[in-house]
Amino acid sequence: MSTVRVPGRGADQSVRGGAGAVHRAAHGPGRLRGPVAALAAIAVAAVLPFVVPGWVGLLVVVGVFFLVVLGLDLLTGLSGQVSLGQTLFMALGGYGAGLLTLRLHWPTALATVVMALVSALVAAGLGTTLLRLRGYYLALATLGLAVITESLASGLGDLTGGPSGLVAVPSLQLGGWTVFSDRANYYVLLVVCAAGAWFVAGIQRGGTGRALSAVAADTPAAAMLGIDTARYKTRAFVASAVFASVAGSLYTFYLRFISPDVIGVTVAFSVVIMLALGGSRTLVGPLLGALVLQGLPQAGQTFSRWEPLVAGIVLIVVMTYFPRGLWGTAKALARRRSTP
Amino acid sequence: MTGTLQIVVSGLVDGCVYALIALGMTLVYSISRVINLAQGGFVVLAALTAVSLQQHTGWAPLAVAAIVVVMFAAGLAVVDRIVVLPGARRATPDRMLLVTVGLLQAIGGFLLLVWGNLPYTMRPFPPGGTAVAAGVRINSQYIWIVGVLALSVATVWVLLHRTRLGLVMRATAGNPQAAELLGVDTDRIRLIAFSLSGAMAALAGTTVIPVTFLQFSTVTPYAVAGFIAAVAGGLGSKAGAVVGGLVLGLLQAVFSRYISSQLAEVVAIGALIALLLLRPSGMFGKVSEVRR
Repeated sequence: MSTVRVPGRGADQSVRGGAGAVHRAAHGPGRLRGPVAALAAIAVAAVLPFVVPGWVGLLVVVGVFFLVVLGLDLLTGLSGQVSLGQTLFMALGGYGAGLLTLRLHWPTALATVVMALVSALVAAGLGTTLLRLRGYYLALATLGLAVITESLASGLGDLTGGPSGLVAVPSLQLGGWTVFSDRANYYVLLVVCAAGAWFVAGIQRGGTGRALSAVAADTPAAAMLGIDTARYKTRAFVASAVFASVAGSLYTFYLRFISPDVIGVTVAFSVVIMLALGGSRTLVGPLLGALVLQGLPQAGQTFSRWEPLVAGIVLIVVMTYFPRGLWGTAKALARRRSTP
Repeated sequence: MTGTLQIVVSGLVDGCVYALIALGMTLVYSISRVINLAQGGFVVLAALTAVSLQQHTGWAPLAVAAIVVVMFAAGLAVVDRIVVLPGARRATPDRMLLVTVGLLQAIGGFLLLVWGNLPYTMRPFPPGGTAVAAGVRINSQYIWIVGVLALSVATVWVLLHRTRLGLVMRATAGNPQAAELLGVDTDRIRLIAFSLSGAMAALAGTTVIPVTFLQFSTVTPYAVAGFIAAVAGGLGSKAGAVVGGLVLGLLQAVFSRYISSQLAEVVAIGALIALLLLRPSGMFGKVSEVRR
């Protein structure tokens, strides 16, 4: 393993081994820094609805997209496979859970879990075929999935309610608790997002993360080292699908409806934009990306007309000059300052 | 029978527009290895520019179209210098794709800002009106659309295969480093490729707008259709791009006759994904570029 050049976290740690050790020693016991930061972040997130009560609705949407982007981070950030088709799984989660609860009167939580499993199966099936393609061709195939998703959502009118969407979906029920208000939805999403972030962090640190990074860096070399590249890529795809599906279900239960616009091609693009903008291979990056892209339109009525133009220009500038995204660039700047 | 013919005609007309977009994309790709998704945005931008120019000056649509084509040929050279070239020097292909997604989004945003969210159309080119041949109604604008595609294909072919500049362009596409070593200014070749793609986007936009309605939200469908046509034909293959575009238009039209237009899109794209998996290089491409 030590002979493979693995970018990102792996390379950082191996190359900067000496400097990192010094760095850690200066900041006390390094093992505790991660958990402490995580607890602090959760504490801040938990009091946020009381600090900015008017913004809770926005925070719920940010949470939903954070979850989708977090899943995509495993696939695109870690294993280097571009997917423009995450809306397929958001739609499976959203429409699936909506239909199961509305037509068959299933419990909402059960519907969410079942649709997550269905999404995992679909991703496993698609992954084994699509992930053989690389680069532009994978991007095209997944973009095709996004287009198909939007078309099916508005085309299968009998099932999905057509362009006007599926309405009167019930709210999420957990035991006897109806998750109806913005604040209740926010706390549910906070728990789910924290669990998701914990899962992604674990993957990134562990052997699976190393293997996925190797696949991203050089697929043939990874295969030569005995990594079953196809299986690892498919696993990452399945995980990203489950994240997107759960996010889609929770979004539908929050909005209490779902329509083709909610899972359109534009949304598929914006999920990828969020990841690129915030910075992949981190946990904060996806959050930052979701916050910026969802927050921009809220900055004022007049500004909302400017939002698509500004978002486009920001994406161009970030992709061209700041390849690590906003958070990656900020981290690099901080590191340069602390190690002169 | 006439019904079927009518569908084939309208599908081929749509296909001509897709083919023009894909031809621009594939030309730029073969020189610069950049897939310019924003090509779909430039089509709509050119069309709406032509509409406004026509309304303000009252000039004939044909004259307006010519002006817009020149504007976009020059404009895309500028876009290459300001947006694409800095990105291509620094970014990996995956990130470059996102740069052009950003460009597409920015164009859509610009359209929303300047033209609002209303659909626009324009007076047709002369002579206008429709003719009926073998029971098929043919809008005279259809002839223009087909003619513009034929003209573009012929121009590109003559340029690439019958001129010295074309030889240099093909050399650059085949091996940029070797071309540079032989004294080719590859940046200049890039500019020429981008200018040509800009002219083609403007041709597509200005000739199609009399028979359809365009607005800011139509940039993505055009970009997606052009991208699909270019890849299905085989990236870098000009014949592939044209055939890919025509086939895509035809598939969409035929299927939307029998099932709804949304489901037609599903079938068309499904067929193209299947093609990609069975023959990953597209219809006219090389296998080695797709998988490893």
